[in-house]
Amino acid sequence: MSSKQSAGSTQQGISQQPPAASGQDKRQATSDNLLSTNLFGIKMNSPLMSASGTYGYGKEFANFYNLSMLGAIVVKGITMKPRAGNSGQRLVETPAGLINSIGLENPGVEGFLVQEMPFLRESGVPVIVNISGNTPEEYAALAERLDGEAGIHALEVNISCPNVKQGGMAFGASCDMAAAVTADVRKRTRLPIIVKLSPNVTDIASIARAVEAEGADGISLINTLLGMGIDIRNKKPYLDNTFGGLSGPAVKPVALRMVWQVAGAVNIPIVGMGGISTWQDAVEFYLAGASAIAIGTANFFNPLAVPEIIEGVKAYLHSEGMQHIGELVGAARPK
Amino acid sequence: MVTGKWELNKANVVANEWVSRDVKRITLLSPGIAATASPGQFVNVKVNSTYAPLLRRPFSLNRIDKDKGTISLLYKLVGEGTELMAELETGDLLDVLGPLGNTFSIEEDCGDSIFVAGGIGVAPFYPLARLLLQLGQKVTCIMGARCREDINELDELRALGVNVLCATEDGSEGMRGLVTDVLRAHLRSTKCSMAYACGPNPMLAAVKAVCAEHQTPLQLSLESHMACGIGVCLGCTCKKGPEEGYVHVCKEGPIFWAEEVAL
Ligand SMILES: Cc1cc2nc3c(=O)[nH]c(=O)nc-3n(C[C@H](O)[C@H](O)[C@H](O)COP(=O)(O)OP(=O)(O)OC[C@H]3O[C@@H](n4cnc5c(N)ncnc54)[C@H](O)[C@@H]3O)c2cc1C
Ligand SMILES: Cc1cc2nc3c(=O)[nH]c(=O)nc-3n(C[C@H](O)[C@H](O)[C@H](O)COP(=O)(O)O)c2cc1C
Repeated sequence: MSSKQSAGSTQQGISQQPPAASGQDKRQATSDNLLSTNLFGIKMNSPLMSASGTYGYGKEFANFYNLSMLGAIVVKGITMKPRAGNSGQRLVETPAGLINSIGLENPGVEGFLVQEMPFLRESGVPVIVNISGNTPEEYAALAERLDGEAGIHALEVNISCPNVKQGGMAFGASCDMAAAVTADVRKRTRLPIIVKLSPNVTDIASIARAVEAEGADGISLINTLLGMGIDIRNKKPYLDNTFGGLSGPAVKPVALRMVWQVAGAVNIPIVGMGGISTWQDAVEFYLAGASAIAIGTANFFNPLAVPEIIEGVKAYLHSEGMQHIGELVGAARPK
Repeated sequence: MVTGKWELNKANVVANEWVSRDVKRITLLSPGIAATASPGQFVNVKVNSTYAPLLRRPFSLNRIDKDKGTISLLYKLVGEGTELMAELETGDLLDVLGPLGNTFSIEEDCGDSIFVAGGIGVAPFYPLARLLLQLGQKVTCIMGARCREDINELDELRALGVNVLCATEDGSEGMRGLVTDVLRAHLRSTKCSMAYACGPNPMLAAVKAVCAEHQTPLQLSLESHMACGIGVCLGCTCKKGPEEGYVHVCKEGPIFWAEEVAL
C-alpha cells in the first residue's frame, strides 16, 4: 500500500457495490465481498475500524487475529509534540462503562512516524491518524506534516477530547470553532478528513453540518461523554482533572441517537461508535445510518471483539438474504 | 483459544479454595500460559461474560505448574469481581488472558535474597522463591499483616525452604510492628544482594527508603487501575522516578526497579 491511493483522492461516500476483486491487491486476497467497502477513497476489507485510543498502534491485537479484517486502523491520538498524559488515577470503572482521563499520551508526530508507522505500513491495513492540537494552526500543521507520508490514508480530526486542558473538546463545542478547525485542516492536506465530534453538545446536527460545509469527507462520532466519579472514602474526585470521558456499553444508546441525528443532517459518510460490543450493536449503528463503525472499549474486555463482531455481522447479512453490507446502511431510517 | 505471545482462553477451574478468611486460591488448567509464564507476570481475567463488572481483573501468577499445565491465583475478596470469582466451582470456565507483563530480574550468582510482602502482596513470591532456591540462593521473606488470620502462604513458603519472618500490627504472629522494622534489622545483620517487594504503595515507599539506606537493589511489583492489560489503553500508570512522565504497569511492568518509579 502506498499513500498515493488516498492522497489527492476526493472520492466521497460509500460505494454500495462490492469492489471488483483484483487478485493483485494483497488485501483483496483476504477480503470478503459481503463487507468490502470503498470509503473516503480507501478500499476497506470491511466497514469496521478500531476506535482511537483503544487499539494503540495495532501491534498488540496482531497477537490475537489477522488485522487485515479491519477496514482501517485508527491510531491513538497524535499531537505535534510528545505528551506524557495526565497525572493520578486515569481509569474509573462504572456500571457497564469506563471513565478515562488518559490526556492524549503519545510520542508526538515524529515519534509516531518513526516508531509506529513501520509496523502499520507492513500490516497493509489502511491507517487513519487521529490528530489533536491546542490551536487550529496546530491541527493544520499536523495535517500538513502527515500529508504524503506513505501508508497514511486519512486523518481523523479529534475536536472532542475531554481530557486536555486546552483545545480538544472546546473545538467541538461550537459550530464556529468546529468549522474553523476543519477549514484550516482542509487547506493543508490532500488526505481525506474525518472530523470526530463530541457528544457533549446540545445540537450535534448543526455542528455536523458546519464541518461538512468546510469540506470534511466524513464524520465520526461519538467521542466520550463527560463524566466523573467521587471516592467516598477520600471524599475527592477519583480523577486529578475531576472530569473524564465515559465510554463503553453504557453510552451506546446516546451514541446511536446521535448517529441517527447526524445521518439525517449530512450527506457525507458517518463512522459510528460508542459502546459497540456485539454484532447486534454494530448492526444497529449501520441501520441508523453509519457507513462504518469503530470498536473501542470492547477491545479492552474482549480482545476478540473485532473478529467476533465481523463474523456476527456476516452471519446476520446471510440470514437476512443481503448481498452486501451497504444494503444495511441507513435501512432503519424513514424512506 | 488464541495462542501467540499471549494466550486467551476459557480455562477450566481445577480448584477454588479458601486460604484464609478473605483470601482464596483458584487453580486453572491453562497449559499455554503455564508453559511460557515466569515469576512476576500476571493474567487479566474476565470474571463473567456480562457487563457487570465490565473490565477484566488483573492477578499475579501465584503458582506456575508447567508439568500439570496449571496456574493459580491467590486473591483477596475486595469487591464485585473477586466476589464473583469466589463463587466459581471446579469444572467452571474462566476467561483468562496472559501471561502479561515482565518478570522479576534474576541474577544467577546472587547471594541472599529478601522478599517483603504486604498482605495479599505475597501472591507473586512463591514461584520466585522456587526459582531462586533452585539456583541455590538463600531466600528470606518478611510478611506483614494486621494479624495472624491475614497471613497467607506461611507454611507453603517454609516448606519450600524459605526463611519466613512475620510482622503483625497486633503481634499475633511474629514481631509486633511493621515489615520495615523487620527489614531494617535483617539488613543490618545480613548482607542481601537483592530485595523484592509487593504490597500497598505506602509500604513499598517505606521499603524503598530502607533498601536505599543499605544500598540493596530493590524490585517492586506494582498495582494500578488497569483496563486492557496489554499496553493499549495507557491507563495503568505510575509516576517515573526522577524523570518526568509515566510508566505503564501492564507493559513496562508490573516489576520495576525501585529507582525507576516515584511512589
Ligand atoms: C498487576 C496486578 C497484579 C495484581 N495481583 C493481585 C493478586 O495476586 N491478588 C489480589 O488479590 N489482587 C491483585 N491485584 C489487585 C486486583 O486486581 C484487585 O483487587 C481486583 O481487580 C479488585 O476487583 P474487584 O472487582 O473485586 O474490586 P473492585 O470493586 O473493582 O475494587 C475494590 C477496591 O479495590 C480497588 N482496586 C480495584 N482494582 C485495583 C487495582 N488494579 N489496583 C489497585 N486497587 C484496585 C478499588 O479502587 C476499590 O477500592 C493485582 C493488581 C494488578 C494491577
Ligand atoms: C482509554 C481511551 C482512550 C481514548 N483515546 C482517544 C484519542 O486519543 N482520540 C480520540 O479521538 N478518541 C479517543 N477515545 C475515544 C474513543 O475513540 C471512542 O470515541 C469512545 O471511547 C466511544 O467508543 P467506545 O464506547 O466503543 O469506547 C478514547 C477512549 C478510551 C476509552
